[in-house]
Amino acid sequence: MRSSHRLHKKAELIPLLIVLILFGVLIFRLFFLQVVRAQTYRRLSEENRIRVIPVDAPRGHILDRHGQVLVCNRPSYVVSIVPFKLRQMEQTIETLSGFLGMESGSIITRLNESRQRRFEPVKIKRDIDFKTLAIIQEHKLDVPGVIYQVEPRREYLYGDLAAHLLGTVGEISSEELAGLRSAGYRHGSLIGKGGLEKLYERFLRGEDGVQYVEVSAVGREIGPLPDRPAVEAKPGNDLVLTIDLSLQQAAEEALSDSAAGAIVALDPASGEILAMVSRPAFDPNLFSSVIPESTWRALNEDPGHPLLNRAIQSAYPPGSILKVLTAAAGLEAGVITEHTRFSPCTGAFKYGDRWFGCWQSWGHGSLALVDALAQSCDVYFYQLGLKVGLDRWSDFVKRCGLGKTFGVDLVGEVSGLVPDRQFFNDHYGRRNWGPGVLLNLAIGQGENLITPLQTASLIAAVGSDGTIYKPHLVREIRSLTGKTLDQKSEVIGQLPVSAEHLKLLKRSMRAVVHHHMGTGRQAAVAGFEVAGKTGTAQNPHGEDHAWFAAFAPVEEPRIAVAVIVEQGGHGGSVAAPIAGRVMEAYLRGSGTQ
Amino acid sequence: MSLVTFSGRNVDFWMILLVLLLCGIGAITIYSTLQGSEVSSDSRLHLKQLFWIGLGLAAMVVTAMIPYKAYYVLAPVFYLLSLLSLGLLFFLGDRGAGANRWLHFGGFSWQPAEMAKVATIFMLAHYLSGRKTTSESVKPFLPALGMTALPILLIIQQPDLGTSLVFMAILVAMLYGAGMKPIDLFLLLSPALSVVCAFHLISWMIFILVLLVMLYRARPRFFTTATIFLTNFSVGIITPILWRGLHEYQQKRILVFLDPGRDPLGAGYQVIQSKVALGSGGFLGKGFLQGTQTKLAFLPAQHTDFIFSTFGEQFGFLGSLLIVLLFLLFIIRGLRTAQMSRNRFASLVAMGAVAVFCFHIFVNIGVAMGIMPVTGLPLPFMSYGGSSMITNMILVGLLLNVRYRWQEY
Repeated sequence: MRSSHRLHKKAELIPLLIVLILFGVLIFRLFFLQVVRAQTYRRLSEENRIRVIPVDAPRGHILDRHGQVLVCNRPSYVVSIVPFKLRQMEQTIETLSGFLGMESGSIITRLNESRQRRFEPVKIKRDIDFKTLAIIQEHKLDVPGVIYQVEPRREYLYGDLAAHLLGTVGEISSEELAGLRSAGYRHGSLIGKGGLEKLYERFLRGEDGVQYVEVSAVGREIGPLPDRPAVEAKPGNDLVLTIDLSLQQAAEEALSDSAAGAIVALDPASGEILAMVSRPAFDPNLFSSVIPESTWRALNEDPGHPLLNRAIQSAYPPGSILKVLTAAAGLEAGVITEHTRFSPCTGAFKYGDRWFGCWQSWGHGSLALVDALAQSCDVYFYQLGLKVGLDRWSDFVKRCGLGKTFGVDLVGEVSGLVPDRQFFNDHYGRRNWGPGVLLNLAIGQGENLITPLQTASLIAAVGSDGTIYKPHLVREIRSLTGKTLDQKSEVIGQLPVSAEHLKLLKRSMRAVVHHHMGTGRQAAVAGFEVAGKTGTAQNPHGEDHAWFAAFAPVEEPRIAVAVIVEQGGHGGSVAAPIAGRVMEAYLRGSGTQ
Repeated sequence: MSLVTFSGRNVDFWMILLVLLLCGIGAITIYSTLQGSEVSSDSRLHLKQLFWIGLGLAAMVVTAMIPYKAYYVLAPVFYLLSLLSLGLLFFLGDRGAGANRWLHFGGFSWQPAEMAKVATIFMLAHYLSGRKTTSESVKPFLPALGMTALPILLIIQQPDLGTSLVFMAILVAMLYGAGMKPIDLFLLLSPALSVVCAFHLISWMIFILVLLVMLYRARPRFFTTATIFLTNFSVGIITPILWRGLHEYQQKRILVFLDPGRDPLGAGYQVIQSKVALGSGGFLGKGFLQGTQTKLAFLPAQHTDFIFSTFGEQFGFLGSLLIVLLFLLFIIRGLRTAQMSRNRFASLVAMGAVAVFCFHIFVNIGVAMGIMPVTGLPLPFMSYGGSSMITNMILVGLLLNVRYRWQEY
């Protein structure tokens, strides 16, 4: 072993210098992390440990005009999977799919859909029944990572009652979510999908709250954070409707024998819709949880179109109901008076080289206005229409508000159609139609189209001295602290008819029900004066549609109603008795306030 | 030299104090990792660590008391034995977690690589102390390369990149200690640098330029010049090809080191959480047992590889700075020991020991702070673990040994 070894001075310095540089780097970096960037890393460490758990806000209730609850929320059980707790994923999903009666593929789809953090529960099936819950509880150990939670579920207390106007709620779709994330929606949020639920979504929804929970790295919840108090969920506002529950029930009942049709009843003094029925209907409760694909397809492809709200989304030829407007047009144009008579009705009318029949094939004889309306004589109105002329006629009908939407607070209202010269030119070509079209229009057939809601509004306007109110369904939006919106009735127009002529029309319509020859006698309500008009809309696809529109009592009317029964036949025999039952239920009942 | 003539004057009490301080802080930090809600490990880990510290101290005392002349004599035997035990791993090793590092006898588990560090230091010191320092030729140093390459080759098979690199650090430090000129050292190790630089064309071009300048300045004989240049050149070309032959996890570690965002749930996750732990500690720290990253288990390997971050989260910049300064004092003290010893073998042994510590400290803390790739090297005295604690204590024992006998030739 050699000895006597000392490194010279310079050689001793180099290792020391290297060591100092290395440790200098460490200290410099330490300073950067713990002093310069401390705020950033402090925030990151907080984000690590704090999980924000959303708390669903209870959706607002929907009440009838008297405060009867129509739609509310009830607790329901939802089965979820916490992805990070899944063990033997395939086997667990297989077992769970057996319990839930779901395909395992759709469970996997749902797991993949919500790409949340691994430890947030993903809802698999909502509103499971108690039996399924018991099975899952019993086999808890076989399905690790599967949990159940309680969540509010939409409950439509009367099943399919008023289904079309109440609408449905459902889980928000990915497309909807893309635009609404900033509004506080998230995966699995419920959102109104139709009817009032959709239109008043922002009032009904409320504001979700949050809970802050400390979690560990594997996602286990340690407990609430004392320094971060939870933000309470704010319940949504209640909707108070104009609907009268008992009248709605009566209307549903009155139409229950018909395969398809609609009823609209409203308050002529305000435009408030008292009842609205569309048949066939569906149960909105089916939509409140995840609707099975098969159920959805069945509803969607049903030839009866149960999802269609016929009261506002279907337009039909108005039939003889429109004679009321043709009469008004004649009176206002000065081409007739109350006493004007035309050539007597022999059961048909020859115009050019064509015969136009009256519904009464043996004829009505010579009639003046009141009797002509009461007996709905087609020949009288053919001649009246010709006197008024196409342009004057279509202009008048449009000024009554037809041919455009009335602005009801529902989605999807259609406008109907008032044919005019322009329409015929566009559709048939300038030379391919003649003045004969006017004969059909004057009696409400042909290309005319009107919705049951328009019919009800129009007839209500006749009853209320010509004032046309905007038909509406929501009276009041009520928050926990008080009213947030009080929907006043809104006048949207005035029938272009003088008071004197309106009186005459009312008298004529009263005769429809009360005259011994009237076509609408079956709509009579004992003890009340009723004014109405029958209609029988020709239907090229089958049996005629039966119409009836009425208001009562004649002086100071409290209810106006329009009834259509698709392919029902004669308005007087099919629709009139239904309208009578609806009005009777209302007038005999508590009425309204 | 005997126990009878024991004199306290030459005992390096400063070093002992520093080591005890670091061990104590380590045990307390280990204790703090046991207070969380997600503790899966043994709840008496800190007590076990105290046991290892005790055992280590005993090993330290024994190592310090045996005169280093004995180590000089036994160096080749130690060296061969450690190579043998590394070789044994191929037959008896515990094939767990993809790594093959442990040997078991009876109730004991042992990492042969730990002992190989000490044995290689002895062997290199043994060999280099017999060579002339003034020699102009590099040739006498070449066998030292082979002596280091053997354990490296055995360990890199395990595969343990971090520990393999420790041997490189030992070699460089001891060659320098043996009097090799820095420029020769550079040329000798240039193939290794060529490997590192070969991952990018521009960095490799720069390296080749520097190499040419160095060759011009050193002006070795033509044959040597050509050999060095060709070696570097071919290594630079082969490296990218070999890269594809690396284990995927090794590739991943290097890549994730360059860009931790690349894999936030894998190796990058550890670094990110470690930086969050350190950074969120701020200037004064969150307080003892108040580290959320630690308690909630966001910080991985918190009582082993990332113990520095565990400590830093709780005690902040001031605490972390204290640790770094304690280590710095320890290293400076070790260097001083190497430099004051009059015995060449003893001085080289001390140099090697300091290199081991320096490398471990810099790499471990560098990993925790995100400036080094995740290598899995423990932090001396603080990280939990028996093998590394005893090895480190033996190395401290050697430093004390050299210091105690610094006047001996």
